[in-house]
Amino acid sequence: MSIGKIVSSSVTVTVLRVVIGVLFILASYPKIINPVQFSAVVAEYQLLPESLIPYAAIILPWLELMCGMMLVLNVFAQSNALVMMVVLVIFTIGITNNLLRGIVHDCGCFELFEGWFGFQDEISVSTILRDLFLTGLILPILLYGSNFFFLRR
Amino acid sequence: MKEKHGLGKIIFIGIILTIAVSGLGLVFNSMNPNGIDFVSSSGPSYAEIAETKQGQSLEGSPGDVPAGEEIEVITLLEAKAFFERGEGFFVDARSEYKYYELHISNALSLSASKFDSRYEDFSDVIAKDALLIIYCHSITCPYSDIVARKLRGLGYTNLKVFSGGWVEWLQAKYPVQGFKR
Repeated sequence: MSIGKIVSSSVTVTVLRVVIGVLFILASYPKIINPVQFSAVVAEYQLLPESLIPYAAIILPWLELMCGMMLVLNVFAQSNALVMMVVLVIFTIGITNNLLRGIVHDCGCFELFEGWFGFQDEISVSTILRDLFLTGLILPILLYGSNFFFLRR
Repeated sequence: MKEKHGLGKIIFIGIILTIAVSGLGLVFNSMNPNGIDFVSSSGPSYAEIAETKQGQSLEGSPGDVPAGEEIEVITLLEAKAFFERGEGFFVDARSEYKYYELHISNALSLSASKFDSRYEDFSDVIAKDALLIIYCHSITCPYSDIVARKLRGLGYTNLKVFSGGWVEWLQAKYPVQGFKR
């Protein structure tokens, strides 16, 4: 069986949907509970004007939660995968930009998994690689997933 | 056979979902006791906030402060008086990058977003009963309140929040230092 067939198989897409979905649901929890704290992290990225930071601090965790839930439930999986990829790409650009300028700060990514391999607290090159890896895992969902409100057979 | 959707439709649904989820998040925030207060974060109500915040306490605010305990909020003049007498430590709750750019002379950095990773070093050198004057960007920024509540929750007893913060200090042309100086 070729790699292309494995990646595009419904089993692979289902496993990726569930794993990525659960990961983002867990990542969203601390940020939704305490958006003020998360807004301090968003401010550190220095990507947005101060007036937009509170909105980003509220909306981003909810995108993680709802997109994660809809991925697990296979509701509009392709669209949710696209939204998540866009969010990850924006974060990756922000992290890269700050590292190039010598600014190191909290990632605001996966606080629940702090200390686990690859989920460290502060931004670094491994944070960028992890985000790119996650983006790569989401790609098969975007390419081979379904995009229905509820799965039609 | 699996029905395929075009990229345009995938993007369209993605945009609709993003808008819907954004609305949901904003509604939830308005009901969340720890949510972001847009009224006190917006420009037009600055004077109103200043009136209510100056000289008052942070009692009843959500966070790590035990119920009933207060953190005093001080004005620019009071902060300057502490500075001139050399009393206490000024604590900068803004991002470390902003701190290194410019900060109140001799202030310490304890960024709200990096509090957990920096607290250990901070607590090694600053006694629990030391006078700490905490500030962030301006009266509308929440980071000094976050840091103050966390410090109070960790046993620091002598805390004051300089609500006018960096903007007021800079506009008053009081002493600052940093690599932009």
